Amino acid sequence: MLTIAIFDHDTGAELGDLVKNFPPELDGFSIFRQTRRKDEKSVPDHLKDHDIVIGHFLSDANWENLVRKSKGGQKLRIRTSTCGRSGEKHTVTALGVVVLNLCPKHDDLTPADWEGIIVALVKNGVAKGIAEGTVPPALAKYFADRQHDVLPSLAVLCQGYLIAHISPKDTPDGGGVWYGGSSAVKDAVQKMGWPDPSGEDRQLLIEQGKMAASNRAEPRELVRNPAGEYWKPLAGLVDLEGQISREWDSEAVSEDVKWLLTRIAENESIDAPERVAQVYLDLREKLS
Amino acid sequence: MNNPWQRRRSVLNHDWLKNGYMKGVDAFVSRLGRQSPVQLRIQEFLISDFPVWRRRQPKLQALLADAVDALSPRSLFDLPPLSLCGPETLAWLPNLAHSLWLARYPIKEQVENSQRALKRADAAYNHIVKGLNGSTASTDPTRLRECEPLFREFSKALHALSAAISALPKKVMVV
Repeated sequence: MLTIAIFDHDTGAELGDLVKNFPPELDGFSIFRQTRRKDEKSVPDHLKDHDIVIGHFLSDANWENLVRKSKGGQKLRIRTSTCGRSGEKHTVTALGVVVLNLCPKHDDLTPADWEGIIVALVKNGVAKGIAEGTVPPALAKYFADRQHDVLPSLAVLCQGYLIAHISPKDTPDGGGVWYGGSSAVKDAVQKMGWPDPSGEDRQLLIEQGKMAASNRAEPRELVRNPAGEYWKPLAGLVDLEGQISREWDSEAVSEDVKWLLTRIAENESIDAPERVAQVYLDLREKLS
Repeated sequence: MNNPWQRRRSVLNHDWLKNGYMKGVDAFVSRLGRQSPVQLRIQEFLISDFPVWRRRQPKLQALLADAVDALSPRSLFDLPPLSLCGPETLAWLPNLAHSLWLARYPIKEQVENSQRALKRADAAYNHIVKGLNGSTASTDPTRLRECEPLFREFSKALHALSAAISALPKKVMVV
């Protein structure tokens, strides 16, 4: 029977969320809980002997000490935090101890989440695979470091594209925006904050929209014209579609996003605001 | 967590304020309430731990002053791929993305709320120092007991401050 130890430094008068949200029992595991420890001055030495340790540690030194002392067998150490540990690297030590960082806040996990995580991680090679960069789709939301580099940039460029298509003579103070007959455009521009009737910076936003939509053939032409500079930051990326797919995680990238990426990559004219609006709405769902 | 501002917030708010300083203040307040608190611990806190606020307060102030710029989608234009935008785009798109973001989220209110909480905490700290006759080294038991409500007020203000800083976005929200 494998043993699991849960240590939470942040317990105060009540049990910490990490301990509270962990299932009371799990088939095939013996669970040890270290609770009501207000500091880490006395981290129990026996933690190192458990097969799995799930720890909310304040001190990096104490955590590293625990990892260093852990040896023998297939040891797994998972560090958690109340603000998530996204951006921290997973590793395998020289002694074969797998060290993972839980990306979301541990407060957000339910007992069912933890059960799914533990059952999946103890399967042969899964934990080590994560440390080496292969995260199974079912565990992606817990251990995949979601570095979104390109998706946010694409969303910002879509915002500019759509605002540039607002008719200058039809600004909100004149009575509306250019929807091009598309409910997707209307939906997208409203969701991106245009025009927020109560917004403190509403007038500024309107002025910026007028500038973006000016009749000087730019930036409306700029955002449509593939030979122009507007989409160049993305067009110049190596394997744009692959990068977007990776950031999109395991799900399939939407058809509208694929359409836009192809247009960008092949320097074709992007003259369908309703499709760009749909791309924005898809990105909104993915990133929010 | 790769964003430098998020890292600063984590070190200042999560590591230092929430898990260090606040726990020290709370422990001190509960010690003050005891019949015969250990004088050595009281003294140690007042001389070594309590005044650290003075050094950290400007850092918290700077963190909050930088919050809007650091959390705005405009900051994406400092890094690739958007840093590769040409001057024609940079003339309007960063500011437009920033204004849309301000329209979507009550970020200014959140930052102002945090700044007010910081001011309240600082005022509570100053009330204590005044109550201790200007010296944080005062361990006169009678005076300390008189200051107990002020320490409680300080503790409450620190909890509110930490919660307000935690409530600020965890990432640059672009949609």
